[in-house]
Amino acid sequence: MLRKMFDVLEGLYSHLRSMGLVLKHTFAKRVTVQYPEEKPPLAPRWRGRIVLTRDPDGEERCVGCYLCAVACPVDCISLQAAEREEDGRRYPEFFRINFSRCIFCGYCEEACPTYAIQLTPDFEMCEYNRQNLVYEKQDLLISGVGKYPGYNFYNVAGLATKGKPKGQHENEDAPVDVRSLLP
Amino acid sequence: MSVQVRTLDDLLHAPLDADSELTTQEYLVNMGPQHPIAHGSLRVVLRLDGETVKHVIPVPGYVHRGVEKMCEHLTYRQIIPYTDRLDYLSAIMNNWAVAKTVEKAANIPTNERIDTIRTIMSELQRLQSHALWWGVTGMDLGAYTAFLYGFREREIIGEIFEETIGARLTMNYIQPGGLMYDIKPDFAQKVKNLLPYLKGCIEQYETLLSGNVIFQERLRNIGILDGKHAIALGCTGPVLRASGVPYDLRAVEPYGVYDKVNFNVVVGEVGDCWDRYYVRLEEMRESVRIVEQLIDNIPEGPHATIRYNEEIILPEGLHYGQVETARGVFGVFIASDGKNKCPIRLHFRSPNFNNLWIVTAIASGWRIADFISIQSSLDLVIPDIDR
Repeated sequence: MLRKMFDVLEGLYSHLRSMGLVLKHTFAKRVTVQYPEEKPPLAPRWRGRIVLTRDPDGEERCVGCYLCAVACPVDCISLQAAEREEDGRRYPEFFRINFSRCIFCGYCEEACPTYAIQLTPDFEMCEYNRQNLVYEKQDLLISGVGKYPGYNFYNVAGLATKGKPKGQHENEDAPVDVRSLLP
Repeated sequence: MSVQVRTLDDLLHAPLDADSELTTQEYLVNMGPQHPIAHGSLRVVLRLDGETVKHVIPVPGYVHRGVEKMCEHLTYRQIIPYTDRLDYLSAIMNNWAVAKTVEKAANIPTNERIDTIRTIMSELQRLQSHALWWGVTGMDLGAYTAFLYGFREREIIGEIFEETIGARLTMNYIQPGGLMYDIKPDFAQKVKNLLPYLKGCIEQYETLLSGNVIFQERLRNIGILDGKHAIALGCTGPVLRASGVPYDLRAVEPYGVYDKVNFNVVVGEVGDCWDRYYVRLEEMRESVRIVEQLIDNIPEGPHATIRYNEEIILPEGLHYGQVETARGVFGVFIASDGKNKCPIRLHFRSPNFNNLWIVTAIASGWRIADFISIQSSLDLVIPDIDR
Protein backbone atom coordinates (compact mmCIF):
# COMPACT_ATOMS: atom_id res chain seq x y z
CA MET A 1 0.00 0.00 0.00
CA LEU A 2 2.76 2.40 1.04
CA ARG A 3 4.72 1.35 -2.02
CA LYS A 4 1.79 2.15 -4.29
CA MET A 5 1.32 5.54 -2.67
CA PHE A 6 4.97 6.28 -3.23
CA ASP A 7 4.69 5.27 -6.91
CA VAL A 8 1.75 7.58 -7.41
CA LEU A 9 3.56 10.46 -5.79
CA GLU A 10 6.67 9.83 -7.84
CA GLY A 11 4.63 9.73 -11.02
CA LEU A 12 2.91 12.93 -10.07
CA TYR A 13 6.24 14.60 -9.34
CA SER A 14 7.70 13.54 -12.70
CA HIS A 15 4.71 15.01 -14.47
CA LEU A 16 4.85 18.26 -12.58
CA ARG A 17 8.56 18.50 -13.31
CA SER A 18 7.99 18.06 -17.06
CA MET A 19 5.14 20.55 -17.00
CA GLY A 20 7.25 23.00 -15.00
CA LEU A 21 9.94 22.88 -17.65
CA VAL A 22 7.40 23.58 -20.36
CA LEU A 23 5.90 26.39 -18.30
CA LYS A 24 9.34 27.92 -17.84
CA HIS A 25 9.72 28.00 -21.61
CA THR A 26 6.60 30.11 -21.89
CA PHE A 27 8.71 33.02 -20.73
CA ALA A 28 11.82 32.16 -22.74
CA LYS A 29 12.81 33.83 -25.98
CA ARG A 30 10.84 32.47 -28.91
CA VAL A 31 12.70 30.29 -31.40
CA THR A 32 9.96 30.19 -34.01
CA VAL A 33 9.81 32.68 -36.85
CA GLN A 34 6.47 33.66 -38.39
CA TYR A 35 7.68 32.58 -41.79
CA PRO A 36 5.82 34.14 -44.69
CA GLU A 37 5.65 37.54 -42.97
CA GLU A 38 9.02 37.41 -41.25
CA LYS A 39 11.86 35.80 -43.15
CA PRO A 40 14.88 34.25 -41.46
CA PRO A 41 18.26 35.36 -42.81
CA LEU A 42 19.89 32.95 -45.23
CA ALA A 43 23.63 32.32 -45.28
CA PRO A 44 25.59 33.86 -48.18
CA ARG A 45 26.75 30.39 -49.17
CA TRP A 46 23.20 29.11 -49.44
CA ARG A 47 22.74 26.91 -52.47
CA GLY A 48 19.46 28.06 -53.92
CA ARG A 49 18.07 29.42 -57.18
CA ILE A 50 20.68 29.40 -59.94
CA VAL A 51 21.44 32.63 -61.82
CA LEU A 52 23.65 33.62 -64.73
CA THR A 53 25.64 36.75 -63.94
CA ARG A 54 27.21 39.49 -66.02
CA ASP A 55 30.71 40.89 -65.79
CA PRO A 56 31.31 44.50 -64.58
CA ASP A 57 31.00 45.79 -68.15
CA GLY A 58 27.49 44.40 -68.40
CA GLU A 59 28.30 41.57 -70.80
CA GLU A 60 27.28 37.98 -70.20
CA ARG A 61 29.92 36.03 -68.33
CA CYS A 62 28.91 32.65 -69.72
CA VAL A 63 31.18 31.47 -72.51
CA GLY A 64 29.23 28.32 -73.34
CA CYS A 65 31.93 25.83 -72.34
CA TYR A 66 29.42 23.11 -71.27
CA LEU A 67 31.39 22.32 -68.09
CA CYS A 68 28.34 22.92 -65.88
CA ALA A 69 26.24 20.59 -68.01
CA VAL A 70 28.92 17.90 -67.70
CA ALA A 71 29.32 18.32 -63.94
CA CYS A 72 25.57 18.15 -63.29
CA PRO A 73 24.69 14.76 -61.74
CA VAL A 74 21.05 14.96 -62.85
CA ASP A 75 21.56 16.47 -66.33
CA CYS A 76 19.27 19.41 -65.71
CA ILE A 77 21.33 22.02 -67.60
CA SER A 78 21.23 22.30 -71.36
CA LEU A 79 22.81 25.02 -73.49
CA GLN A 80 24.04 25.77 -76.95
CA ALA A 81 27.19 27.82 -77.47
CA ALA A 82 27.45 30.46 -80.20
CA GLU A 83 30.01 33.05 -81.28
CA ARG A 84 29.35 36.74 -81.64
CA GLU A 85 29.87 38.11 -85.14
CA GLU A 86 31.91 41.22 -84.33
CA ASP A 87 34.62 39.89 -81.99
CA GLY A 88 34.16 36.13 -81.77
CA ARG A 89 33.17 36.22 -78.12
CA ARG A 90 31.34 33.07 -77.11
CA TYR A 91 27.93 33.18 -75.51
CA PRO A 92 25.13 30.68 -74.95
CA GLU A 93 22.49 30.78 -77.65
CA PHE A 94 20.05 29.25 -75.21
CA PHE A 95 20.59 28.25 -71.62
CA ARG A 96 17.97 26.13 -69.96
CA ILE A 97 17.84 24.78 -66.42
CA ASN A 98 15.11 22.38 -65.46
CA PHE A 99 14.58 23.20 -61.79
CA SER A 100 12.25 20.27 -61.29
CA ARG A 101 15.32 18.08 -61.75
CA CYS A 102 17.92 20.30 -60.10
CA ILE A 103 19.15 19.07 -56.72
CA PHE A 104 21.13 22.20 -55.81
CA CYS A 105 24.38 20.31 -55.29
CA GLY A 106 26.53 23.27 -56.37
CA TYR A 107 28.71 21.35 -58.82
CA CYS A 108 27.86 23.68 -61.73
CA GLU A 109 29.01 26.71 -59.77
CA GLU A 110 32.20 24.88 -58.83
CA ALA A 111 32.89 23.84 -62.42
CA CYS A 112 32.26 27.26 -64.00
CA PRO A 113 35.58 28.81 -65.13
CA THR A 114 34.14 32.33 -65.51
CA TYR A 115 31.98 32.59 -62.34
CA ALA A 116 28.98 32.94 -64.63
CA ILE A 117 26.64 30.39 -63.05
CA GLN A 118 26.03 31.02 -59.38
CA LEU A 119 23.76 29.67 -56.68
CA THR A 120 21.94 32.33 -54.71
CA PRO A 121 20.25 32.44 -51.29
CA ASP A 122 16.71 32.04 -52.53
CA PHE A 123 14.55 28.97 -52.22
CA GLU A 124 11.05 30.32 -52.79
CA MET A 125 10.48 29.10 -56.32
CA CYS A 126 7.43 26.86 -56.08
CA GLU A 127 5.10 26.70 -59.04
CA TYR A 128 1.65 25.29 -59.67
CA ASN A 129 2.61 24.26 -63.17
CA ARG A 130 5.57 21.95 -63.61
CA GLN A 131 6.51 23.48 -66.95
CA ASN A 132 7.11 26.82 -65.26
CA LEU A 133 10.09 25.30 -63.45
CA VAL A 134 12.03 25.11 -66.71
CA TYR A 135 13.96 28.37 -66.64
CA GLU A 136 15.14 29.83 -69.92
CA LYS A 137 18.05 32.21 -70.37
CA GLN A 138 15.96 35.34 -69.89
CA ASP A 139 14.76 33.96 -66.54
CA LEU A 140 18.24 33.04 -65.38
CA LEU A 141 20.25 36.04 -66.53
CA ILE A 142 20.52 38.82 -63.96
CA SER A 143 21.97 42.27 -64.57
CA GLY A 144 24.39 42.11 -61.61
CA VAL A 145 27.78 40.54 -60.95
CA GLY A 146 26.77 38.17 -58.16
CA LYS A 147 29.37 36.97 -55.67
CA TYR A 148 32.52 38.11 -57.49
CA PRO A 149 32.15 41.88 -58.07
CA GLY A 150 35.31 42.81 -59.97
CA TYR A 151 35.86 39.67 -61.96
CA ASN A 152 35.96 39.82 -65.74
CA PHE A 153 37.09 36.64 -67.44
CA TYR A 154 38.14 38.33 -70.69
CA ASN A 155 40.47 40.69 -68.80
CA VAL A 156 42.60 37.81 -67.61
CA ALA A 157 41.99 35.18 -70.26
CA GLY A 158 44.66 36.31 -72.73
CA LEU A 159 42.15 36.64 -75.54
CA ALA A 160 41.47 39.62 -77.75
CA THR A 161 38.19 41.40 -77.06
CA LYS A 162 36.34 44.28 -78.62
CA GLY A 163 38.58 47.38 -78.57
CA LYS A 164 41.47 45.60 -76.85
CA PRO A 165 43.87 43.36 -78.72
CA LYS A 166 46.00 40.65 -77.15
CA GLY A 167 48.42 41.86 -74.48
CA GLN A 168 46.46 44.95 -73.48
CA HIS A 169 44.59 43.54 -70.49
CA GLU A 170 45.44 43.43 -66.78
CA ASN A 171 48.79 41.83 -65.87
CA GLU A 172 49.34 40.78 -69.44
CA ASP A 173 52.61 40.83 -71.37
CA ALA A 174 52.71 41.68 -75.05
CA PRO A 175 52.25 38.56 -77.19
CA VAL A 176 55.37 36.71 -78.29
CA ASP A 177 56.05 36.32 -81.98
CA VAL A 178 56.22 32.54 -82.13
CA ARG A 179 57.81 32.56 -85.58
CA SER A 180 60.74 34.74 -84.54
CA LEU A 181 64.03 33.06 -83.66
CA LEU A 182 65.07 35.89 -81.32
CA PRO A 183 64.63 35.29 -77.60
CA MET B 1 12.54 -16.01 -28.97
CA SER B 2 13.03 -17.58 -32.33
CA VAL B 3 14.30 -15.87 -35.43
CA GLN B 4 12.45 -17.01 -38.47
CA VAL B 5 12.45 -15.43 -41.87
CA ARG B 6 8.90 -15.01 -43.09
CA THR B 7 7.60 -13.66 -46.33
CA LEU B 8 4.40 -11.81 -46.95
CA ASP B 9 2.94 -14.94 -48.51
CA ASP B 10 3.51 -17.01 -45.38
CA LEU B 11 1.82 -14.34 -43.36
CA LEU B 12 -1.24 -14.02 -45.53
CA HIS B 13 -1.81 -17.78 -45.61
CA ALA B 14 -0.77 -18.62 -42.08
CA PRO B 15 -2.90 -21.21 -40.28
CA LEU B 16 -5.19 -19.79 -37.64
CA ASP B 17 -4.24 -20.36 -34.06
CA ALA B 18 -7.12 -22.12 -32.33
CA ASP B 19 -5.36 -23.50 -29.31
CA SER B 20 -6.80 -21.14 -26.74
CA GLU B 21 -10.37 -20.36 -25.79
CA LEU B 22 -9.50 -16.69 -25.71
CA THR B 23 -8.36 -16.70 -29.31
CA THR B 24 -10.59 -14.58 -31.46
CA GLN B 25 -10.79 -14.12 -35.18
CA GLU B 26 -7.39 -13.13 -36.50
CA TYR B 27 -7.22 -10.28 -38.93
CA LEU B 28 -4.67 -8.36 -40.96
CA VAL B 29 -4.10 -4.67 -40.61
CA ASN B 30 -1.97 -2.46 -42.81
CA MET B 31 -0.03 0.07 -40.83
CA GLY B 32 1.15 2.50 -43.46
CA PRO B 33 2.33 3.40 -46.05
CA GLN B 34 0.26 6.49 -45.30
CA HIS B 35 -0.03 6.56 -41.55
CA PRO B 36 1.02 9.12 -38.94
CA ILE B 37 3.09 6.51 -37.16
CA ALA B 38 4.95 5.32 -40.23
CA HIS B 39 8.02 7.56 -40.50
CA GLY B 40 7.80 7.98 -44.21
CA SER B 41 6.22 5.46 -46.53
CA LEU B 42 6.76 2.19 -44.75
CA ARG B 43 4.02 -0.38 -44.97
CA VAL B 44 3.84 -2.82 -42.09
CA VAL B 45 1.34 -5.66 -42.25
CA LEU B 46 0.24 -6.75 -38.81
CA ARG B 47 -1.54 -10.02 -38.09
CA LEU B 48 -3.61 -9.27 -35.05
CA ASP B 49 -5.56 -11.22 -32.51
CA GLY B 50 -7.63 -8.60 -30.76
CA GLU B 51 -5.01 -6.02 -29.97
CA THR B 52 -2.15 -8.47 -29.71
CA VAL B 53 0.34 -8.55 -32.54
CA LYS B 54 0.83 -12.10 -33.79
CA HIS B 55 3.18 -11.55 -36.70
CA VAL B 56 4.67 -8.50 -38.32
CA ILE B 57 5.84 -8.22 -41.88
CA PRO B 58 7.33 -4.96 -43.11
CA VAL B 59 6.78 -4.31 -46.82
CA PRO B 60 9.38 -1.79 -47.95
CA GLY B 61 9.71 -0.45 -51.45
CA TYR B 62 7.36 2.51 -51.65
CA VAL B 63 10.24 5.00 -52.00
CA HIS B 64 12.35 2.85 -54.30
CA ARG B 65 14.12 5.11 -56.76
CA GLY B 66 16.80 2.80 -58.08
CA VAL B 67 19.65 4.92 -56.76
CA GLU B 68 22.18 2.13 -57.14
CA LYS B 69 21.31 1.66 -60.80
CA MET B 70 21.40 5.40 -61.41
CA CYS B 71 24.88 5.56 -59.90
CA GLU B 72 26.20 3.23 -62.58
CA HIS B 73 26.40 6.07 -65.09
CA LEU B 74 27.70 8.71 -62.70
CA THR B 75 31.26 9.57 -61.79
CA TYR B 76 32.30 8.94 -58.21
CA ARG B 77 31.98 12.58 -57.35
CA GLN B 78 28.50 12.74 -58.81
CA ILE B 79 27.41 9.79 -56.66
CA ILE B 80 27.91 11.89 -53.51
CA PRO B 81 24.70 14.00 -53.82
CA TYR B 82 22.69 10.83 -54.32
CA THR B 83 23.87 9.45 -50.97
CA ASP B 84 22.41 12.52 -49.27
CA ARG B 85 19.03 11.29 -50.30
CA LEU B 86 19.29 7.83 -48.76
CA ASP B 87 19.56 8.41 -45.05
CA TYR B 88 18.82 12.09 -45.19
CA LEU B 89 19.40 12.56 -41.47
CA SER B 90 23.03 11.48 -41.70
CA ALA B 91 23.87 12.91 -45.10
CA ILE B 92 27.43 13.94 -44.25
CA MET B 93 28.27 10.50 -42.92
CA ASN B 94 26.87 8.87 -46.05
CA ASN B 95 29.02 11.19 -48.15
CA TRP B 96 31.98 10.13 -46.10
CA ALA B 97 31.32 6.45 -46.79
CA VAL B 98 31.60 6.98 -50.57
CA ALA B 99 34.56 9.32 -50.21
CA LYS B 100 36.34 6.87 -47.93
CA THR B 101 35.85 3.94 -50.29
CA VAL B 102 37.02 5.92 -53.32
CA GLU B 103 40.00 7.37 -51.48
CA LYS B 104 41.10 3.97 -50.25
CA ALA B 105 40.74 2.36 -53.66
CA ALA B 106 42.33 5.13 -55.72
CA ASN B 107 45.02 6.04 -53.15
CA ILE B 108 43.88 9.62 -52.76
CA PRO B 109 45.52 11.13 -49.68
CA THR B 110 43.74 13.30 -47.14
CA ASN B 111 45.29 15.62 -44.63
CA GLU B 112 44.75 16.22 -40.94
CA ARG B 113 42.55 19.26 -41.51
CA ILE B 114 40.18 17.41 -43.80
CA ASP B 115 39.87 14.51 -41.38
CA THR B 116 39.25 16.78 -38.40
CA ILE B 117 36.56 18.83 -40.14
CA ARG B 118 34.92 15.66 -41.41
CA THR B 119 34.82 14.23 -37.91
CA ILE B 120 33.41 17.41 -36.38
CA MET B 121 30.74 17.69 -39.05
CA SER B 122 29.80 14.03 -38.68
CA GLU B 123 29.37 14.36 -34.94
CA LEU B 124 27.30 17.52 -35.32
CA GLN B 125 25.17 15.66 -37.80
CA ARG B 126 24.81 12.75 -35.38
CA LEU B 127 23.64 15.19 -32.72
CA GLN B 128 21.17 16.66 -35.16
CA SER B 129 19.89 13.25 -36.19
CA HIS B 130 19.47 12.05 -32.61
CA ALA B 131 17.72 15.29 -31.68
CA LEU B 132 15.17 14.65 -34.38
CA TRP B 133 14.81 11.02 -33.39
CA TRP B 134 14.25 12.05 -29.77
CA GLY B 135 11.51 14.44 -30.77
CA VAL B 136 9.84 11.96 -33.08
CA THR B 137 9.91 9.23 -30.43
CA GLY B 138 8.19 11.60 -28.08
CA MET B 139 5.60 12.46 -30.68
CA ASP B 140 4.95 8.80 -31.49
CA LEU B 141 4.29 8.10 -27.83
CA GLY B 142 1.98 11.04 -27.42
CA ALA B 143 4.29 13.84 -26.26
CA TYR B 144 4.03 16.46 -28.96
CA THR B 145 6.06 18.96 -26.94
CA ALA B 146 9.13 16.80 -27.31
CA PHE B 147 8.94 17.12 -31.07
CA LEU B 148 9.20 20.88 -30.88
CA TYR B 149 12.09 20.70 -28.43
CA GLY B 150 13.96 18.29 -30.66
CA PHE B 151 13.52 20.56 -33.64
CA ARG B 152 14.81 23.53 -31.68
CA GLU B 153 18.28 21.99 -31.40
CA ARG B 154 18.14 20.66 -34.91
CA GLU B 155 17.56 24.17 -36.16
CA ILE B 156 20.51 25.61 -34.26
CA ILE B 157 22.93 22.98 -35.57
CA GLY B 158 21.36 23.41 -38.99
CA GLU B 159 22.32 27.08 -38.98
CA ILE B 160 25.96 26.11 -38.58
CA PHE B 161 25.67 23.74 -41.52
CA GLU B 162 23.92 26.41 -43.50
CA GLU B 163 26.74 28.88 -43.01
CA THR B 164 29.50 26.41 -43.81
CA ILE B 165 27.90 24.22 -46.44
CA GLY B 166 24.98 26.17 -47.84
CA ALA B 167 22.33 23.53 -47.27
CA ARG B 168 20.39 22.17 -44.34
CA LEU B 169 19.44 18.64 -45.25
CA THR B 170 21.14 17.49 -48.43
CA MET B 171 24.62 18.67 -47.59
CA ASN B 172 26.81 17.19 -50.33
CA TYR B 173 29.82 18.25 -48.29
CA ILE B 174 32.45 15.51 -48.11
CA GLN B 175 33.98 14.82 -51.51
CA PRO B 176 36.59 12.26 -52.59
CA GLY B 177 39.89 13.85 -51.58
CA GLY B 178 38.57 16.72 -49.54
CA LEU B 179 35.62 18.91 -48.72
CA MET B 180 33.28 20.90 -50.90
CA TYR B 181 33.95 24.19 -49.07
CA ASP B 182 36.46 25.25 -46.46
CA ILE B 183 35.11 26.23 -43.05
CA LYS B 184 34.67 29.90 -42.29
CA PRO B 185 37.02 31.65 -39.84
CA ASP B 186 34.35 31.93 -37.14
CA PHE B 187 33.20 28.32 -37.44
CA ALA B 188 35.18 27.06 -34.41
CA GLN B 189 33.96 29.86 -32.17
CA LYS B 190 30.35 29.33 -33.17
CA VAL B 191 30.51 25.60 -32.50
CA LYS B 192 32.25 26.26 -29.18
CA ASN B 193 29.48 28.60 -28.11
CA LEU B 194 26.93 25.99 -29.07
CA LEU B 195 28.32 23.04 -27.10
CA PRO B 196 27.41 24.17 -23.53
CA TYR B 197 23.93 24.97 -24.78
CA LEU B 198 23.56 21.50 -26.28
CA LYS B 199 24.66 19.93 -23.00
CA GLY B 200 21.94 21.87 -21.24
CA CYS B 201 19.44 20.72 -23.83
CA ILE B 202 20.28 17.07 -23.23
CA GLU B 203 19.61 17.66 -19.53
CA GLN B 204 16.26 19.14 -20.50
CA TYR B 205 15.52 16.01 -22.51
CA GLU B 206 16.08 13.99 -19.36
CA THR B 207 13.70 16.14 -17.37
CA LEU B 208 11.05 16.35 -20.04
CA LEU B 209 10.85 12.78 -21.26
CA SER B 210 13.30 10.32 -19.68
CA GLY B 211 12.22 11.16 -16.15
CA ASN B 212 8.52 10.89 -16.98
CA VAL B 213 6.93 7.78 -15.52
CA ILE B 214 4.41 7.23 -18.33
CA PHE B 215 7.17 7.47 -20.91
CA GLN B 216 9.30 4.98 -19.02
CA GLU B 217 6.42 2.54 -18.73
CA ARG B 218 5.92 2.72 -22.48
CA LEU B 219 9.53 1.70 -23.13
CA ARG B 220 10.87 -0.43 -20.29
CA ASN B 221 11.00 -4.19 -20.96
CA ILE B 222 9.25 -3.80 -24.31
CA GLY B 223 10.63 -5.49 -27.40
CA ILE B 224 13.64 -7.17 -25.86
CA LEU B 225 16.34 -8.16 -28.34
CA ASP B 226 19.33 -10.02 -26.96
CA GLY B 227 22.86 -9.59 -28.25
CA LYS B 228 23.07 -12.99 -29.94
CA HIS B 229 20.01 -12.40 -32.05
CA ALA B 230 20.95 -8.81 -32.75
CA ILE B 231 24.18 -10.03 -34.32
CA ALA B 232 22.37 -12.81 -36.20
CA LEU B 233 19.91 -10.32 -37.68
CA GLY B 234 22.70 -8.02 -38.81
CA CYS B 235 21.77 -5.06 -36.63
CA THR B 236 24.23 -2.25 -36.24
CA GLY B 237 24.42 1.06 -34.51
CA PRO B 238 22.52 1.99 -31.37
CA VAL B 239 20.14 -0.95 -31.85
CA LEU B 240 23.01 -3.42 -31.61
CA ARG B 241 24.78 -1.56 -28.82
CA ALA B 242 21.59 -1.43 -26.76
CA SER B 243 21.60 -5.23 -26.80
CA GLY B 244 24.97 -5.21 -25.05
CA VAL B 245 27.32 -5.65 -28.00
CA PRO B 246 30.04 -2.97 -27.87
CA TYR B 247 30.45 -2.72 -31.64
CA ASP B 248 31.03 0.81 -32.82
CA LEU B 249 32.94 1.27 -36.06
CA ARG B 250 34.42 4.50 -34.73
CA ALA B 251 36.12 2.53 -32.00
CA VAL B 252 36.61 -0.86 -33.67
CA GLU B 253 38.22 0.33 -36.90
CA PRO B 254 38.77 4.07 -36.46
CA TYR B 255 38.63 6.33 -39.49
CA GLY B 256 39.06 10.09 -39.66
CA VAL B 257 40.53 11.26 -36.36
CA TYR B 258 38.41 9.01 -34.16
CA ASP B 259 41.57 7.26 -32.97
CA LYS B 260 42.80 10.53 -31.45
CA VAL B 261 39.76 11.34 -29.35
CA ASN B 262 38.44 9.80 -26.16
CA PHE B 263 34.89 8.61 -26.15
CA ASN B 264 32.96 5.73 -24.65
CA VAL B 265 31.09 3.15 -26.64
CA VAL B 266 27.70 3.34 -24.93
CA VAL B 267 26.25 -0.11 -24.30
CA GLY B 268 22.84 -1.10 -23.02
CA GLU B 269 22.07 -4.00 -20.71
CA VAL B 270 18.67 -5.50 -21.44
CA GLY B 271 18.12 -4.65 -25.09
CA ASP B 272 14.62 -3.29 -24.61
CA CYS B 273 13.22 -0.09 -26.06
CA TRP B 274 14.38 1.88 -23.05
CA ASP B 275 17.98 0.81 -23.64
CA ARG B 276 17.73 1.79 -27.29
CA TYR B 277 16.38 5.14 -26.15
CA TYR B 278 19.03 5.69 -23.54
CA VAL B 279 21.96 4.57 -25.68
CA ARG B 280 21.10 7.29 -28.18
CA LEU B 281 20.74 9.91 -25.49
CA GLU B 282 24.14 8.96 -24.07
CA GLU B 283 25.59 8.98 -27.57
CA MET B 284 24.57 12.61 -27.88
CA ARG B 285 26.68 13.37 -24.83
CA GLU B 286 29.60 11.44 -26.32
CA SER B 287 29.25 13.37 -29.59
CA VAL B 288 29.44 16.65 -27.69
CA ARG B 289 32.57 15.33 -25.98
CA ILE B 290 34.20 14.41 -29.30
CA VAL B 291 33.49 17.82 -30.80
CA GLU B 292 34.80 19.50 -27.65
CA GLN B 293 38.12 17.70 -27.98
CA LEU B 294 38.56 18.55 -31.65
CA ILE B 295 37.20 22.04 -32.02
CA ASP B 296 40.08 23.86 -30.28
CA ASN B 297 42.83 22.77 -32.62
CA ILE B 298 41.71 22.32 -36.19
CA PRO B 299 45.01 21.97 -38.10
CA GLU B 300 45.85 24.31 -40.93
CA GLY B 301 46.07 23.15 -44.51
CA PRO B 302 44.17 22.96 -47.77
CA HIS B 303 40.58 21.72 -47.67
CA ALA B 304 41.07 19.39 -50.65
CA THR B 305 44.00 17.34 -51.84
CA ILE B 306 42.80 16.82 -55.41
CA ARG B 307 41.17 19.21 -57.83
CA TYR B 308 37.42 19.02 -58.09
CA ASN B 309 37.58 17.98 -61.76
CA GLU B 310 40.30 15.38 -61.41
CA GLU B 311 39.49 12.13 -63.14
CA ILE B 312 39.12 9.31 -60.64
CA ILE B 313 39.40 5.79 -62.01
CA LEU B 314 39.36 3.02 -59.45
CA PRO B 315 41.52 -0.06 -60.08
CA GLU B 316 39.77 -3.14 -61.36
CA GLY B 317 38.09 -5.15 -58.66
CA LEU B 318 35.72 -4.87 -55.74
CA HIS B 319 36.00 -2.09 -53.20
CA TYR B 320 34.20 -1.75 -49.91
CA GLY B 321 34.19 0.95 -47.27
CA GLN B 322 31.98 1.63 -44.32
CA VAL B 323 31.32 4.30 -41.74
CA GLU B 324 29.23 4.49 -38.60
CA THR B 325 26.25 6.72 -39.29
CA ALA B 326 23.70 7.78 -36.72
CA ARG B 327 21.83 4.54 -37.32
CA GLY B 328 24.60 2.02 -37.80
CA VAL B 329 27.06 0.83 -40.37
CA PHE B 330 26.61 2.36 -43.79
CA GLY B 331 28.69 0.54 -46.36
CA VAL B 332 29.47 1.25 -49.99
CA PHE B 333 30.34 -1.60 -52.30
CA ILE B 334 31.82 -0.61 -55.65
CA ALA B 335 32.72 -2.91 -58.51
CA SER B 336 35.04 -1.22 -60.99
CA ASP B 337 36.39 -2.46 -64.31
CA GLY B 338 39.49 -0.28 -64.09
CA LYS B 339 38.74 1.61 -67.32
CA ASN B 340 35.73 3.79 -66.71
CA LYS B 341 35.06 6.80 -64.54
CA CYS B 342 31.86 5.19 -63.30
CA PRO B 343 31.34 2.03 -61.26
CA ILE B 344 30.02 -0.97 -63.15
CA ARG B 345 27.99 -1.95 -60.09
CA LEU B 346 27.35 -0.19 -56.85
CA HIS B 347 25.56 -1.29 -53.72
CA PHE B 348 24.77 0.53 -50.50
CA ARG B 349 24.62 -1.48 -47.33
CA SER B 350 22.11 0.49 -45.35
CA PRO B 351 21.80 0.09 -41.58
CA ASN B 352 18.06 0.76 -41.57
CA PHE B 353 17.25 -2.21 -43.76
CA ASN B 354 18.72 -4.67 -41.29
CA ASN B 355 17.41 -2.78 -38.27
CA LEU B 356 13.91 -2.86 -39.71
CA TRP B 357 13.71 -6.63 -39.98
CA ILE B 358 14.17 -7.23 -36.29
CA VAL B 359 10.53 -6.24 -35.82
CA THR B 360 9.62 -9.61 -37.36
CA ALA B 361 11.52 -11.25 -34.50
CA ILE B 362 10.71 -9.06 -31.51
CA ALA B 363 7.29 -7.53 -32.09
CA SER B 364 5.21 -10.74 -31.87
CA GLY B 365 3.21 -10.95 -28.70
CA TRP B 366 3.11 -7.25 -27.89
CA ARG B 367 0.15 -4.92 -28.20
CA ILE B 368 -0.20 -2.46 -31.08
CA ALA B 369 0.70 0.39 -28.74
CA ASP B 370 3.93 -1.40 -27.83
CA PHE B 371 4.65 -1.97 -31.49
CA ILE B 372 4.70 1.81 -31.86
CA SER B 373 7.36 2.02 -29.15
CA ILE B 374 9.39 -0.71 -30.85
CA GLN B 375 9.18 0.93 -34.24
CA SER B 376 10.13 4.36 -33.03
CA SER B 377 13.00 3.00 -30.94
CA LEU B 378 14.57 1.61 -34.13
CA ASP B 379 14.87 5.13 -35.59
CA LEU B 380 14.05 4.17 -39.17
CA VAL B 381 14.59 6.36 -42.20
CA ILE B 382 12.57 4.87 -45.03
CA PRO B 383 14.41 6.18 -48.15
CA ASP B 384 17.50 4.41 -46.82
CA ILE B 385 15.62 1.11 -46.64
CA ASP B 386 14.13 1.38 -50.12
CA ARG B 387 16.99 3.19 -51.85
